[in-house]
Amino acid sequence: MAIFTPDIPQAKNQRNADRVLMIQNFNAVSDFMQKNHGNFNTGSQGFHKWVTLLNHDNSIGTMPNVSTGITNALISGIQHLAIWNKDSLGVAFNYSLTRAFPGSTGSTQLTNSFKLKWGTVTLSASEVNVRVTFPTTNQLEFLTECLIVLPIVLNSTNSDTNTWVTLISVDRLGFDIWQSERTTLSVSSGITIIYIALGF
Amino acid sequence: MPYNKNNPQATDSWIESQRSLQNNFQAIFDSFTFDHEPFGDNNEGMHKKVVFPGLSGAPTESLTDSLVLFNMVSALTGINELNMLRPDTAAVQPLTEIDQNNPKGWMKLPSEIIIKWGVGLNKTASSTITFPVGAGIPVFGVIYAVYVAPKGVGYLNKAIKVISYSTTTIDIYVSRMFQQTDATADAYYLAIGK
Repeated sequence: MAIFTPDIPQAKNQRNADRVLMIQNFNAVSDFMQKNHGNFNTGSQGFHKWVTLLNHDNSIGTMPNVSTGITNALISGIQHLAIWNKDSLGVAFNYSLTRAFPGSTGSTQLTNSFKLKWGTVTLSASEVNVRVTFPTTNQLEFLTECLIVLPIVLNSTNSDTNTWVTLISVDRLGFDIWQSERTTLSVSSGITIIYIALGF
Repeated sequence: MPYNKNNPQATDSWIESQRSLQNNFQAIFDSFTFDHEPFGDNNEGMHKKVVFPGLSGAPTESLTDSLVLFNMVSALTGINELNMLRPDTAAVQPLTEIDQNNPKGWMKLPSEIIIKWGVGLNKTASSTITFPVGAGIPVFGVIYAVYVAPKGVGYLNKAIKVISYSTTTIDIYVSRMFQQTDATADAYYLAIGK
């Protein structure tokens, strides 16, 4: 790997000394340029072959307004592919493209900064209007808003067609749901539901 | 004249040295400004865009915790997709795979989560929706959540509940909510797994 010497030529240098350093610099430039790129003097000169993102500390560094950057960021102890955006006012925000907490209760990041959450929960039988709070431990959270929740009854008893749920309201921390039976506003036993939620 | 990293030579005349130096500076200028903000710009050196040529295989990278982005044909979709080598395992992780077929399709998120959607036709009472299988369709190794809803007009008062689900199927029950009798409906489904 050639060393690059930026401060040449110098007036005090012998011509041959500068010449050797110039060759060294041109070798260094060639090595530098060809790292992950097409070689000089080829049709792919300047093109990337691939892009290697080194371990990064997830700080934004210098970044102009209205620009987007990608990094290999350390988030909660794990390296992730992350997006940095900076708006016209210079406000920066970031999120990981590859972060997820898979499981029966889980969440994942979407590429447009939205998040998808899901879970299975058994509602209390003591009331028809039930609050479900999204788990937060080891989960991605909706920081601003939950846009939609899709709940459905999970019931292993085929013949029980008498219970259902209705969504009342949603917010970023959870949702309120109405559970009922055909003949009464109460439920004899808690209903288990699966939910899928979308937000950001 | 091409870039020559071994110029100038000791035997070169001053004019020859000037010419070779100018060639090299021109080549450096062309390469450094390709898809980048140019020299002298406030943002010089920053990318304007990154173009990934199609590779025949995944590159190798030995640097610890490094993440490599590259372009390679997907075995699932058969087209060029953006991929990464995961920094934790160095495994190939596709980032853009999707089958947008309507009404059945799937997508793989960069987080490795798979979302499948589709419709099961004419499901009556206790029925099973089977996820499509075959070439170009990912298989759930584990499934986390599902949602099913009745499809179409004329299905007023019909509801679907989930009996159980697996990596290959969703067992559902179609009924009328108030009459508490069996019913028939097409069933839209959404499934999340990995």
